[in-house]
Amino acid sequence: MQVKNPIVSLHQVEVNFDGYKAVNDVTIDFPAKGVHFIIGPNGAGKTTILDVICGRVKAAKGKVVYQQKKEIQNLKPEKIVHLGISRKFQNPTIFPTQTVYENMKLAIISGKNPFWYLIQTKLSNDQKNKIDEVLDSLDLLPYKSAISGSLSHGQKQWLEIAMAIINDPDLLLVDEPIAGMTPKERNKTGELLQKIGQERTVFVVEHDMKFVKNFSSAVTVMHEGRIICRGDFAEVVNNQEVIEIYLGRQE
Amino acid sequence: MEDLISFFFNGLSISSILLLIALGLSIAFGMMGVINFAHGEFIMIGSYSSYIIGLMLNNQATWWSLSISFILSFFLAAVIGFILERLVIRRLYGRPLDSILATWGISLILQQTARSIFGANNVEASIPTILTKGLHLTPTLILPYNRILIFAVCLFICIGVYYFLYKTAKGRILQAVMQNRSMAACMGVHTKKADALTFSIGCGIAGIAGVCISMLGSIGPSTGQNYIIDAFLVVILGGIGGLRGTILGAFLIGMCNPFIEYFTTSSMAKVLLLTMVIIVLQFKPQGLSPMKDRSID
Amino acid sequence: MKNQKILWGALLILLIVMPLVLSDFRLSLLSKFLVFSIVAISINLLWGYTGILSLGHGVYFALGGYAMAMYMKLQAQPLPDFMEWSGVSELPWFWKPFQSLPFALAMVVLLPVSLALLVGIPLFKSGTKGVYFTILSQAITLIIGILFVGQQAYTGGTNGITGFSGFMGFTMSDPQLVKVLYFLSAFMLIAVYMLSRFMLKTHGGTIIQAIRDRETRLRFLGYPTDWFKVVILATSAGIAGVAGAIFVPIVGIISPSSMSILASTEFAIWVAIGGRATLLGPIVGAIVVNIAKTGFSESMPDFWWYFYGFLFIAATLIFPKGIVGSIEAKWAKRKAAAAPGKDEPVEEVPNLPIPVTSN
Repeated sequence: MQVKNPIVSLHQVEVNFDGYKAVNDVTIDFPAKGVHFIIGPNGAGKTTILDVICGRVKAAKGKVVYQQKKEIQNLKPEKIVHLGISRKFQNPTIFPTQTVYENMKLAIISGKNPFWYLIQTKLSNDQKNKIDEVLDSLDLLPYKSAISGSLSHGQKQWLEIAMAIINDPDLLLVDEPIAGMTPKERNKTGELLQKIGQERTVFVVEHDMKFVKNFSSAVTVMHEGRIICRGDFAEVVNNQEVIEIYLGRQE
Repeated sequence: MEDLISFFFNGLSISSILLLIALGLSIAFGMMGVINFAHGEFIMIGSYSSYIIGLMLNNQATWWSLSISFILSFFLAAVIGFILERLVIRRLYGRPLDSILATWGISLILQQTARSIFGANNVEASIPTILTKGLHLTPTLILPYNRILIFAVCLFICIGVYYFLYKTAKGRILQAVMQNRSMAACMGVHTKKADALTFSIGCGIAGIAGVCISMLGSIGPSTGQNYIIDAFLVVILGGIGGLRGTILGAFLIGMCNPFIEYFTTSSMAKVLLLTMVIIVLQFKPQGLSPMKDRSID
Repeated sequence: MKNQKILWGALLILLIVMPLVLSDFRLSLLSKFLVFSIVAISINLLWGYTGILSLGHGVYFALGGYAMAMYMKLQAQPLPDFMEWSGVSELPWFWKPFQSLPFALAMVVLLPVSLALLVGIPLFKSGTKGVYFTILSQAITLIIGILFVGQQAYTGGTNGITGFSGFMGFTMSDPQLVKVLYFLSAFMLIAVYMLSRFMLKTHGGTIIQAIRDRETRLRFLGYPTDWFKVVILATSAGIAGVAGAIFVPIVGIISPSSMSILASTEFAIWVAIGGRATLLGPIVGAIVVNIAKTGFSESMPDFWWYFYGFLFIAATLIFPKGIVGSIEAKWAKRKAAAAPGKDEPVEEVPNLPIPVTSN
């Protein structure tokens, strides 16, 4: 499948965990903009793909190229973040003892200008407004001063998404965002991701097929560390191999 | 050339002692996430056991008394270790930083107890006279028998531990607890018992190391302190939890000291040793051969 | 606010009442305790707020002390006596600049900071953390101590450097010196306290606490956490060095025992007893424990070690929050009880690492 101006390209990437190949010789181009779902049974290597892109694990072989120019497989995670790649983890990973506002504060400073910021105590008005804006788009504004540990599970997920998008990343990596959410929350999350996908690229790892059907622009299926097929949801769902892999897993 | 062989041999016996000490530390940390800074005092307990036995025989030690020393030191150290584990250590699982402080406190108490019982000065543990002699390879190159014995004891214990850990069912259970505690518990393993057993055995082996040390020179309340940091460096260098890493670490650190000392002074040797550890950590932050090897976390 | 009143009250007692009430001997002791409080604050910044436990801070304390001692020794004897005794007839080149006070003062901070950078950069960049770092910090102080003992001709060896003639124009035996040193220690303590309070209010302060709570998350927000750790280690080392420098004229000596593992571990226990991650905890802990130590050592020295050991165990198992921490927790509870519903109780979320799930 020819992709023009891919935002991320993987070339023969292999990721090894003590001999087990979580990602096995994967070569793929991901197009920019839109919400791309990566699906597959457990152990397929979906989260590992995200991990390799954001620098959480190191590829044993192969290259990861960002925006066609930058090789990022050997960069440290913090540098990758500054390039415009942001990650939301599977379990809500926020700072539970801090307030929502303080969480956002940490996110917006982002360690880009560390030493100057070290001695500052206040955020600029622009930054404060931005935080309010993003919190509002996720209906979290009323909870600004609440301790983030006391939010509901779904709200914690949204907070983490808010922290991930506040610095306008070009690529947002999201891992099972709707786990533990009510159907209404799921819808809201899906719409939110779609909105983000209009200006940026979003990769989502998910299991819930209804969610994938409703909100994806493209789907990639993985199994045992390899890419099995890709296309839009209808194509993928009718693919023979995919059906075999998912036998009995229809939601 | 002869000097080199002599240094190599000395290094071997120091490596053996460090290995015996580090084994208990490494397994305790790998299994329970506990750092035992009182480990040095279990060495001390072993040394004093040997001293007491010697005293009881009016300083006429024999092979029998030496064997009894080994056995007594093992059990004494293991029992005290077991009591400690029940009272204090088990409340510190998974809290390595806190366990350092708490066990440091225990170390202070144990050292003071030794001082109250035996006095603050160093004493000599009596050893069989044959051990003061050595194997004459050449007229000028003598391999002391006591060092040969230390190496033999270490080899024996290593083989025992290897066999136990890797070839027996109980040992495999211990490995399981080390690798995935919650899963092992789900499979019906009594993890608390496993912990107590492992900790006690580790302390017992340290006691044996103490007897070995008493064969090399005088001992006292702070004998353990002299070896503890080197033992921890062995664990850091070698990696946590496995026999292989600990052997490697002990060998490297035990050997380096005499070799470098040959070329410079003893304090420079320690500096170079530490630098070596830090450099190795640059490339292998988990040590040379760790049992648990995870990516970023 | 209750807090402020207590603080001002304590300050008053410290600065005005104590010098009038205490004898020279006890005032000198108190100065020593105040200096220890400064070290405790430096440990707390690193441990309570950043989550890094250094049990080898003695080396930074001692380096600052040695810098000051070298200056003071050269004021007393152009060629220090221990050098003559070791057969060194001319002042070595690295001693010469210590004849100047500005240089010595700069070294008080630069020496410990340089060592902190030298070990901190390789260690933190390779991801050394937790217990590994703690043990290595002990190894570092142990080995530098051995080095100092070995180089007797240049450092005074085990005996260290002593035999000073005076400090800042006062002779060592001048009773005025005791008061001067007392005010110096008190003001330095207040300055360091205010500095640490400011630091924690800045973004930097928020960041180091986030490093303590969830470092990996912070990296994925774009923070080069290794550099932050290096900076906080260096800052902590510098503060410890300053404390060491004031320590020397108070006790009249600096020796390798100040950088022993035992001394370094004691710093940490003061923080633990006083209360980690509180601003006043280290000060309270340092003063309380040292008063106890002095008291017991005079009457029952053997018993002191049993008690001290027990303190270590108690500080980790029985009251991990420490004195100040426990008081603050009680006040928070009372406030919550008085205004119900305002503060939702937060579950203690354990410091979980980001789980590596298999997908």
